[in-house]
Amino acid sequence: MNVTEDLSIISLVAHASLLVQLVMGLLLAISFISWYWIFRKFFAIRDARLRTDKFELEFWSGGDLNALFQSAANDRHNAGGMERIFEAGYREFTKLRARPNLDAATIVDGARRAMRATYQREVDELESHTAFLASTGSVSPYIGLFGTVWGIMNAFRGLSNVGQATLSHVAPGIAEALVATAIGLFAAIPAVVAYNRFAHDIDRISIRWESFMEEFSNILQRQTR
Amino acid sequence: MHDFALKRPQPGKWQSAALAVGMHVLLGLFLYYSVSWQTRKPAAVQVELVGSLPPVEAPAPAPVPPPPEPAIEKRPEPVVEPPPPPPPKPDIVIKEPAKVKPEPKVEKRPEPRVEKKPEPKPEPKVEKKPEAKAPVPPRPDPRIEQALQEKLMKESLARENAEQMRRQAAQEADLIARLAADGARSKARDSWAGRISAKVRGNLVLPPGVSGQPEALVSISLLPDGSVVGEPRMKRSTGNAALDAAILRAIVKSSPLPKPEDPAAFERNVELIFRPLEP
Repeated sequence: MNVTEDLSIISLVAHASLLVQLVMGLLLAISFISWYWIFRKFFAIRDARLRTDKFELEFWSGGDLNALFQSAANDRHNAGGMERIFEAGYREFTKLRARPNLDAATIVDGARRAMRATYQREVDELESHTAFLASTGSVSPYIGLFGTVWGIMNAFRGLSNVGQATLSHVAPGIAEALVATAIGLFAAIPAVVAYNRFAHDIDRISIRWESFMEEFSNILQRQTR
Repeated sequence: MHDFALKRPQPGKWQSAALAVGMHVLLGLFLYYSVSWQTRKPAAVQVELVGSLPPVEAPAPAPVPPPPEPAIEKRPEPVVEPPPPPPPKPDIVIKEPAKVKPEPKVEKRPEPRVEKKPEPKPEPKVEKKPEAKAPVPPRPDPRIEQALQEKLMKESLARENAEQMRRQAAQEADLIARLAADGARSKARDSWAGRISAKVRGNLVLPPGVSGQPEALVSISLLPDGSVVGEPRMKRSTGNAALDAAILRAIVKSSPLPKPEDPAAFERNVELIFRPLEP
């Protein structure tokens, strides 16, 4: 540990002990994946919101339900969540209505169950991988702290070989070790912020979908008479 | 219906990867350019402290110079000062050269004017000027000449005086500044000596039968951290051998001695006037 050296980030990382370097590598990987999912989820949630807006506009503009269903069914791979809920419910509704001897409540209940199943699938799809962000936010500071503690332990152990102990003997080692905490925090802070933001956004979208289900059930019930 | 879950739009898959890479490249650049600490300065301080440790016995002669130094510095200046004041007296001797200087001026003035003016201007003026200046070259009137010379003398004297005043003022200002610095240093030294005395007094075990105002001059060698090196030496005894021994023991026992508040006032060899009975 040369005292007169300059502490650039590269020398800091290069001089750290193997375990600290491993911790830094792990944290960098976690940080990369977490940023990847932050952007993926950001785009996905924005896309879901835009499609929901678009479908709500189409649905409440008073178009023919059959035509709407046809267009949703033809383009099912490119449809938004609300469109799929509508499609599932309407498909079930038409199937049940074709059967004889079924009363209105049963038909609407069947349609609602189909819609709920699709709704849960869609919400689950939106929420996927946000748990990863949550655990990144809570765990990566600890991983960084582990690397730091280990690095500081090494720095102090090296200090025991030096006759006259001064701060400049420990400082580089501690600085190296603290880089691990810094990387951990860099991974954790955006993950926590993004997780909270996404949880809120997903809540709002699912509430819109749920209220749409209720309203659509009412419309179907009116059509059975 | 099950294929719903399989195929769905996956917006921004590659964009996200690219953005994530971009974020880390940004972070890397930021760290690379902002994290470059230099640890040279503390290292330099370290070297100095360690380097000054070994020579402990050599400084023995040094203690004598520090106290006289201020005195020598102060005295020479008063001595230097007198020379400037005397000049007024020697002026009488200097007057002659002073006279010589102004005279050429008197001669020069009329000449160029006489020569220059005739060329651009008509003759009448040339005639007039010589007439006006005539009294000087012929010097018929000794009184005028005397008056002139006196005047010149006074002028040169005044000039010299002004110069001397300026020099003196500068010297005085310099002296005052030096005295002020010395004063600050001696003040710091005094308070430091006071604190050392206080600490030593706390560790002093007075032998029985000490009375009056005993006073000892002790020479102590210090490390920068205040610890006493070697044995302190008694330069001027109190007259009581038991008290002397007690004082030396107390000094060793008080190690490390307090450091001065102003680190610049630190000296490796301190001569302490120690009055054991003072409160």
